Amino acid sequence: MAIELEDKWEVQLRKGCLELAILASLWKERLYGLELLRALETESNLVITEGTVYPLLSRLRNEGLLDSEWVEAELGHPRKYYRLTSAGRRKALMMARIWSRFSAKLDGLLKPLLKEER
Amino acid sequence: MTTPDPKIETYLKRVRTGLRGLPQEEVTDILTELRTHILERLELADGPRESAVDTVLQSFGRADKIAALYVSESLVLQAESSRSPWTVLRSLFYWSTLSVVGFFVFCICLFGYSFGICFFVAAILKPFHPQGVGLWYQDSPHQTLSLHVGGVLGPPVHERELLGWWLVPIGCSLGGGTILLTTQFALWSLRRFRRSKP
Repeated sequence: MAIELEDKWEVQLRKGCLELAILASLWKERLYGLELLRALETESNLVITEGTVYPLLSRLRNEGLLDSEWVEAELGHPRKYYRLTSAGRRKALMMARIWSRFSAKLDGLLKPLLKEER
Repeated sequence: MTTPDPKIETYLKRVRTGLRGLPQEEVTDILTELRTHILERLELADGPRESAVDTVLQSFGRADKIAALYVSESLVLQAESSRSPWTVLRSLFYWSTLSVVGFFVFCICLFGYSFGICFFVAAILKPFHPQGVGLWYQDSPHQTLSLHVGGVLGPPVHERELLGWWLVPIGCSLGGGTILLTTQFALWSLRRFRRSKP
């Protein structure tokens, strides 16, 4: 029961952070789907079912936060690259500020709990 | 370039089936992107090709679920951008084929729009057929309220008209308000449906 609750909570938490993580991954450069997934796995520890990232990218593009373009690779398959639009950059910045403030406060609240656990 | 695999083609066919209702151009774009990802992952995979295909498809997730995610996005987008009762109902109808909650929301909104449109039409027709259009009350034996729109048949017998000319402003505001509220409820439900997906 406790494990189930922990799993559900973690899933919800990851779902909530996914949009921010995607926008943040695209902050510096344009990426295509597979590159983005690798970036999410290595830099944010967010492991998601691979196929579900594409509908999410499609939503962010429909909301005007991302732009996409097909690029023909010299060897191999054409790749669809995503980049942040100016609206996307503004939203990413706004979300990052909120997250940063929120997590700093929460860290303070959690310190005594974690100290006691040790 | 890697040769297409029957398992991958079957998987993509399932996605395509789930994407019915989306514009053809969008479906082609989605399938090309998914195919590219799967093939590129296969090129990087070690071991026998057959087991690699299974592993890649497994990590990609269920075809119907991925299609449903795309569709839920598209439903909300279409309904939000148009806001016309017809488009909203079409999106809800599609949702009703996917879930029981969707079916109930579709029924509620169908009722809401019918109710609103009836009052609106009655308000517009009242000046043209003052005797035949109105809200009527039957005193006996069942004591029922009825909105009568019948320019040819004339007013109902043994029934009392309640609103008279007030039907025009009341019908317009009640009809318009109900249509507006139904649209808001439909969009709110569709957004909740979208949020329930990863």
